Amino acid sequence: MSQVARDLGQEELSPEARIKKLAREAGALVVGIASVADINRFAPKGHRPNDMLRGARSVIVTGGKPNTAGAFESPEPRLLTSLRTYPAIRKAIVMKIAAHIEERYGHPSIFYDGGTVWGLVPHMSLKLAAERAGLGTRSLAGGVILNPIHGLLNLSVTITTMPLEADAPLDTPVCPHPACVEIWARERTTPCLSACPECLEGELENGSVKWMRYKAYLCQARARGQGPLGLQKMLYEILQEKDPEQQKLLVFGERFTRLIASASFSSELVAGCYECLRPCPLLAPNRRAGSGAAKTSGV
Amino acid sequence: MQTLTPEIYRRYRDEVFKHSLAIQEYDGLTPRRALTDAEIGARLEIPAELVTEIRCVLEVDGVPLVFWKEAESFKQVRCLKRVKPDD
Ligand code: SF4
Ligand code: SF4
Repeated sequence: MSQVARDLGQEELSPEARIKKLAREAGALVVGIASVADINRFAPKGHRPNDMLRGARSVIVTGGKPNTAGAFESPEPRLLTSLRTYPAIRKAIVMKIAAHIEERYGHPSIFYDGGTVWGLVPHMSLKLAAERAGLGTRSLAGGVILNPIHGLLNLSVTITTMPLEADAPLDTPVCPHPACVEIWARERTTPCLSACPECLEGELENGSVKWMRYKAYLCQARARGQGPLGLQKMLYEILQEKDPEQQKLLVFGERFTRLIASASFSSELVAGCYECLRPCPLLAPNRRAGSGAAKTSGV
Repeated sequence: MQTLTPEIYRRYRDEVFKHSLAIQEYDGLTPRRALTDAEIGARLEIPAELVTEIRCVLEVDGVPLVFWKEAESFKQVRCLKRVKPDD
């Protein structure tokens, strides 16, 4: 019977295969599944999938290219952030998966794309979920997840009470790239470390990352300078200004005008920074148009 | 909830900074786990909500304005090192 179904192209897919097919058709470049029990071995209480959805058993993690290849060729770094691709569709994809699971299998499901809830601390770590779902491994560039084929991924998840077969984490770290190991041997640095020495520190040993330190508090000031926190920071500066003429110049100036426009129209409110990863050899697929690996998901 | 006062902020800000995700350390590629707001609160014997408030203020207050303002020129300089504009 299964032979007939196969021959007629009507083979019944497993729930996992069906969910992954749906994710890809909706625009995800990669998709993997992690079990909540596995994530909870690492995530602290208060930031676990089942802190977000009672009875959660599985997390479906989707990833896509953060930008078009062309955005990496722009000499204007603001465009690299404001022309983000997967972030524009990632929520719709995980929402579709959640709806599919509820309708077809009757299991309550929610979706999440990393929106913060308490300041900069998210409900749950998408990096951890992606790692456990086998989508990539951490990197020297602030622990960002890199995929061996697609490089940098942008992430979103569906959390469900449905028990699903989980994928295995990758067993070989993606970072450092062999080219970085060679650079380290010669120069005691890597492309990411030398791009942002203020935020990133670390050391390679025997071709692996020995230790690393990511100063997230500095990075977020740089990366989110054009986001809501940048607006707060500048507003405070304006309120502190004693000279009314100077205050006027600050309020009407280009920087504050752009921050206000961003808040009003969400034009650049996402903010962002990719400079430590711009020179990363693993990002070559993100920067190459026309190859299958570099396809811009769903856009 | 207890109101955050300048005195409370000054008193606890360094400890909250130290235990939060502000600086993330890794052994190899394995993160050393930072403390959650609830865990920091338990350690400092103050409510978790107060820790959250201190941390959120710190996220904006903790870096000098000049660093925020220089972010765009930092990105522009790094970008132009890799992407040469057309003549
Ligand atoms: S994202 Fe930007 S600010 Fe953050 S570590 Fe990378 S280069 Fe530095
Ligand atoms: S440049 Fe990329 S591959 Fe090389 S060490 Fe940095 S993050 Fe890893």
